[in-house]
Amino acid sequence: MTEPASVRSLESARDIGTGFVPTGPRVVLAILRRDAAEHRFLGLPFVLDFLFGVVNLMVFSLISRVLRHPTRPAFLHTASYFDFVAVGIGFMLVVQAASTQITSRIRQEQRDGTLELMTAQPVSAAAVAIGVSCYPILFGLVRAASYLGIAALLLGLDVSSTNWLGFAVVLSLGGCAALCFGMALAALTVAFEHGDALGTLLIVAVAFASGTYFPVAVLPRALRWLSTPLPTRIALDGLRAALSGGSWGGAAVVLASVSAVGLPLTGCFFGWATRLAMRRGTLTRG
Amino acid sequence: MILQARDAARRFGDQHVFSGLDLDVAAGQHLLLSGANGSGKSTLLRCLAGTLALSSGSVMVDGLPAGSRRARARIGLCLRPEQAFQLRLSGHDNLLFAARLRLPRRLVGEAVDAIEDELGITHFAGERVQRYSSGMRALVACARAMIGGPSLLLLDEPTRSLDAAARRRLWTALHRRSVACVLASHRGSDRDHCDRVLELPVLR
Repeated sequence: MTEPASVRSLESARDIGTGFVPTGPRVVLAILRRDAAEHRFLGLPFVLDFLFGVVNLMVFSLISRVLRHPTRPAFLHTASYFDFVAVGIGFMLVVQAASTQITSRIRQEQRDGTLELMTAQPVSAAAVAIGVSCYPILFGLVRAASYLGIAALLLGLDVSSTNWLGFAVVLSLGGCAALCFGMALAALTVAFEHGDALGTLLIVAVAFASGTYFPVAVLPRALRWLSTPLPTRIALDGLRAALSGGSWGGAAVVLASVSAVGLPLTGCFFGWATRLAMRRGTLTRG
Repeated sequence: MILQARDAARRFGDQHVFSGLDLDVAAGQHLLLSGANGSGKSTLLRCLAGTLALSSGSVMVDGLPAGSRRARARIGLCLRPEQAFQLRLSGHDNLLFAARLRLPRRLVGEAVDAIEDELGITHFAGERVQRYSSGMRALVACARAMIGGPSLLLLDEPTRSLDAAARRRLWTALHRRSVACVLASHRGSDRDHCDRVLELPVLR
């Protein structure tokens, strides 16, 4: 008796498939495709989120009219407080994606058992970490660009001398640096369960110390010193410089270096966290 | 031997789940794990898959240490068959995702279509998983484990929610492959399809 064609083709897939180990980029792309497909069903929440963002920008636009201080050197690179804070709000969307969204995503994967299932596949832990983190970061970057576009079109963000290439480069590299940050928090979530709470705490601290809503020059001296090496502060400085046509190359070099060192490091950290969870039996938290 | 466990033990704190376990499963052999609730069937399956570390002892899959990437490439795993899905995606999309992690690109679509056809899930594969019954989910979970032609299948109560026809299709598919299979089950009829039974005692 001849077997059906579907079974024959399955057998051929079976023969070739046995022992197949996918490359890291392929794994990342597969997870990214999965997450993009899953989120196309979330139209209304996205629209509401976008409206919230626009209202938030409008609030700061109005505050900026009250807080005009054009001679203050602390607003370095930008013409007004609104220009300053719009960049901060935009980039914090990427940082927020890296902290709260990635950690809540990892927690969800742990609860559903999908993290354990992915870990059971012939894939590296680093590829899983990057894959799970990629969609929130990319979406955060798109949100940031959209919000700033709205701010420029409707709310008076000054883009007359913006270096768009510089802006895109610094924003992308800032996203890579934020990805490292998110992967580290994801590793903490896998290892110690409360990474999401830590993520929320960190985003507040980072927003405070990086000069999101006010220049770091007004911070107390000790905090100013602490904010100096923060990649988020460097990214914000670079973005504000690119927005006003200033020099952004230094920020880009630092962010590229942070990403080049941080991605493999946090990938290893996630691998360690996964192995720890395997020892403890907490890869799935039902 | 496709699967070898030697002096395997797992404990949580000072509670032993199993200990001193030796296990050999040859290619194509079906081993049923039996035992009361809490006897450690699921825990043992996790240890064999490498997603849970042993407290002591060793597990080798096709001569490779369990948990290594090459060993994982040889295993198809189905734990919590009614869960572990992207619920907003269709069964087909869930299977595509699994196939992308286990097969070369050119075989992904073909393998998913073939397994859907074989297990009789084609007619509902396009619907979102969140609308599935437990049995439909279990069948898709089994299909997902079988994608990529594993040499060893580890299945945790795969037939618990399946009706008679679905169970028959699943067992036909398993026998057709001559794949080694370790499954945990309380269902008496599953014993008829297995070569051996391992009864796990409750140690706690």
